[in-house]
Amino acid sequence: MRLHLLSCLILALALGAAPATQKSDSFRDEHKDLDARTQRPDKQVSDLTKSVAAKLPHIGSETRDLPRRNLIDEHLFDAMEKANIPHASLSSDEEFCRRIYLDLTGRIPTTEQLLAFVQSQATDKRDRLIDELLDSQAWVDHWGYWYGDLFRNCANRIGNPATRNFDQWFRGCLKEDRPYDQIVAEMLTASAPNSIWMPDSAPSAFLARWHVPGDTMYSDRYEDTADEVIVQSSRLFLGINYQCISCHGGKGFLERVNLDLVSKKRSELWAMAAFFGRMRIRIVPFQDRFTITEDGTGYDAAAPSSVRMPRKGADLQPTFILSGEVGNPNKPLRPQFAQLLTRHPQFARATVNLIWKQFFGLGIVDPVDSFDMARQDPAHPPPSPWTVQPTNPALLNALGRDFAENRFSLKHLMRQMARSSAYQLSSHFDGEWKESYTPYFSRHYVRMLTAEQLHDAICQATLVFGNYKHKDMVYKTDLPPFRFWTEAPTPEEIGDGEAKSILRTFGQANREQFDRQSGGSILQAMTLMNSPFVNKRIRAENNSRVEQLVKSDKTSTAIVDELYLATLSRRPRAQEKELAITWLDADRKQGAEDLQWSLLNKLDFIFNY
Amino acid sequence: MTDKSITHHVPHLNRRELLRIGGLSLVGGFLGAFRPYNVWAAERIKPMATARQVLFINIEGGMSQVDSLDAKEGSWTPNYFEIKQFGELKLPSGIMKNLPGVLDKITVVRSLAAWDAVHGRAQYYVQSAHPLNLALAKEVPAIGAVVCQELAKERKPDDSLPPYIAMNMAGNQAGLINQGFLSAEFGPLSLAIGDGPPALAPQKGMAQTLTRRWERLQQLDSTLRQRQPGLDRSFVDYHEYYRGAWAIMNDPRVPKIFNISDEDKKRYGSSAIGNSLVLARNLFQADAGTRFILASHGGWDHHGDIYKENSRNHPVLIRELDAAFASLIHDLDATPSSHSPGKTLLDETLVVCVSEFGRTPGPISETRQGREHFIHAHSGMFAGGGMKKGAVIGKTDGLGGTIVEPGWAQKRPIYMEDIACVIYSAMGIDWTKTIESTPSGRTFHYVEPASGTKYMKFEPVQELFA
Repeated sequence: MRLHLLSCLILALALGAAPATQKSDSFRDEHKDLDARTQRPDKQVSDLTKSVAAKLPHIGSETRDLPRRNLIDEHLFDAMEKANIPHASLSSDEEFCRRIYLDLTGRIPTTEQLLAFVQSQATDKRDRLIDELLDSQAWVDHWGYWYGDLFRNCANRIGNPATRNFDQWFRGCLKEDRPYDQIVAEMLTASAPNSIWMPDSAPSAFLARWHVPGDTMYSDRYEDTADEVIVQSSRLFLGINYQCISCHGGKGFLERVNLDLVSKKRSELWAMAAFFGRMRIRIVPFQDRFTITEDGTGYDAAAPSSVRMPRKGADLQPTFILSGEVGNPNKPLRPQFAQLLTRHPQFARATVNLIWKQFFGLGIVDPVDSFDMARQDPAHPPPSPWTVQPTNPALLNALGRDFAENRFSLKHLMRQMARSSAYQLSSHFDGEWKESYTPYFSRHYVRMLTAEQLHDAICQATLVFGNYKHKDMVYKTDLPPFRFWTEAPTPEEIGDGEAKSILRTFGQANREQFDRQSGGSILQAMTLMNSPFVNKRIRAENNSRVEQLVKSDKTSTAIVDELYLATLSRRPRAQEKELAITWLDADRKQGAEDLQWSLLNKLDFIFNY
Repeated sequence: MTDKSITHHVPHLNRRELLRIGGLSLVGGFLGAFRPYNVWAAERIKPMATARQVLFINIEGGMSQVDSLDAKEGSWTPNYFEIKQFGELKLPSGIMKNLPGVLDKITVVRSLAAWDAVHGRAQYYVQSAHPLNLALAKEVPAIGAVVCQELAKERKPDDSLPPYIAMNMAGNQAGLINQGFLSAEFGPLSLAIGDGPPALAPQKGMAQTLTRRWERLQQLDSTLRQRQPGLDRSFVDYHEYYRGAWAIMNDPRVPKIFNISDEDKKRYGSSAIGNSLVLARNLFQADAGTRFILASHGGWDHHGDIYKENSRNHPVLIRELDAAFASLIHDLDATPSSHSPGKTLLDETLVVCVSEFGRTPGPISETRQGREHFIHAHSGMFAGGGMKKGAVIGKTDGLGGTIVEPGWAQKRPIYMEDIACVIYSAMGIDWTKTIESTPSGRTFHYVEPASGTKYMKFEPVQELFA
């Protein structure tokens, strides 16, 4: 990954050049125009939620008086009270049920699951459902796939066996609820002495993923690879983007971007990379395999680079940038790095912030990989006019501590979030919503379903599943087909053209170079209205739900109810029901097909609200 | 510039904008100096503004320059290549039967070079002219999105088709770069073109059904489908996508645009790229709102059996590209412009056809009979939209691995950033522009003053312009 230099050279050039001011005012005005068009994360979620929630039939419950259920509620509701900011009511049971199924398992509830929950009289039924889902295989599938995206686990150059085995290993970790600090440490210290895959080298695919080639695609650049491992693991595990200082010092470049990084030098990045200076990731030419060993001589700060500005050399000791702690060169270096990284409070803070964004739609620090370490502590605020970066620093610290004290359990962390009243607020907001409320999380923010969630939801609502075939990687025997996309180890492993087309249209990540793309498009609307994938599922054929209903002796009313429950996870409003019944009464098959089509094209289906 | 002038254009301060201003204040007196347009303003950037629209043909995977536009003959060269001299050019006439017929309308460049030998990152350059930075990848827009954002004011009320259309880019190794932090209306409509065009208009017999369903959906949602007041104009309401989709599906021009006659199909080579270019021609002829087309021709990663005549190897793909490209140039040139009397559609359409990198020159590999990735020299084609006709720029050595004459003022290889400058200049866009308030806080440069490994001043290849 090459450095994005952006404003880098400009200062250097500018200091040598006369600051000309000849550009016209109209040029400047045009720029203001452009500047106004760019989108900030908090504004985006505010606008999106405002727009979508206004288009949903009234959701939310009548419950406004909410218990403070854990430390999340203490911090968030305290902040709201202090600032005198109103909050939304509690989500309705239907709203909560769909949301928690999507967030924990990536799937919408079945009609049976939904009705069982809604009709239950138990006072602790929300907690029970959360626990049940956290212990389900669907939770493992959803989060295993999500982490596969995050770590970009894909076969390119490292091979299918390594990719699959990393995936199986990671899902195993989730299933056993292994401490996240240990999982990360295993990834950072993994070896693969033999290029033929060995069971205990499964975590090594994470490191191999960041291998940087030299002049040809099958050569190795060890220092570049070490830089890359540091840049990526800092981004993923500390939430800090050291990409900029991997090419140049921060001074003169990052004054407007990151206060802490202004004072950081490129040699400090190298010193951290020196923990990986003896690591050798070697790609086996033409075979999509690799080895990882620890037989190198150390980080050469004058080594040539194939992806960054030339190195100038420096005297280095392996040093952890956040604490200044120096590694012992007589001991294995990578375990020391893993220890320093996972013991630093920022590891827990960045991790909870990352997961927070998945549950609350907006990070406490957002973007989640933009932490500025000079702007974290309200007791030592940054010089004016900078402000403290987290929208609720006490919450972030407390949640990070809670995560660490509970053996870095991801399940515990997600349980804390899901159980909080704050998470269970409705996305509907009574009264006037102001954008300034956004950092307080005083309503739930909506998100579009991800590509995989949408694919799975369409299949589950219509009961026409893909049944994706796949084989055992060693014995090449057929395995039970997958129904849900998140069962697959990578985006490329399974599927047919129709499925792949809809997944790409809705922004699926390829894990090779690009992340999931969010946001809507005209093509998405076209796909939902008129694509082979959707068309074959809404018709009364292929034993679809519509076919089963049309052929059954159910009344129009019952059919409408079931299609709503199965597709939108809610009962129809009276008006909706009345209208749909007239379609079915006029022509049972056509009416049912049209209703199924309409429901898949409604915002309540496309969004997680 | 003073703090007053900054706050002036930030009507309501929120957390992020405060940060932005804070950052600006920190650098105080240097503020003006941070802006590249101030640095280069003395040069008086003058875009050429010679084109109205862009067709970018992305030869994906790395086309072997020495077996195509910069042909070099050796003991390894198959006889059927029939390498012949065409003016300054040497071409494999046995597999490029049609290109010689349009050489007088295009410019061939043989002094291109790439920064990166890995497909994903190199393709990222091709689409964005920026080095890939994962931390910023979400916000960096594609060249096509920047162009369309610049052209937004020219959009007509009956322009139903989106300004930016991408074809066969879904499987691209860098993904299809979208609008980044720009408004979603400038993002690409991604189409898969195979044996034929996608059915954007409803299939025969489906129109009535879809219309009924559309009406029923409106009834079901009733007032809920109305626009919300008080939202930022950069925000696109999801229903706008539905409105856009419905407008396309019902535009009477669309069935004609998305129809490929058997004769066209044959002339363009009966391939995915052929069909894509027919569609590109139709789109520009119809003038229904599309101004930037990115058409991908995939499968060029010939590490093995490069000369073997199997389904997707070099000779096969060259024949596809040759037929498609030559027919396209011919057709655009034969279509009168609907905007400038006396000009042709080719005159107002900038056609760029390049690969992310080249392939190793000289003998093919003994083990796999192929060629590996090569970043030091490759070739491409430019036509229309103000480009020279019948010119050749750049020259390589005997094997085709070293550029001996870059053929332009900068006396260095031409990189993707320079090509982006050409596109921006031809479209009348100042390529030195920047956008300051990005989500990350880092300035977005239309074209950065540095690649991944070198500081460099990129600029349009003026020698390409007629």
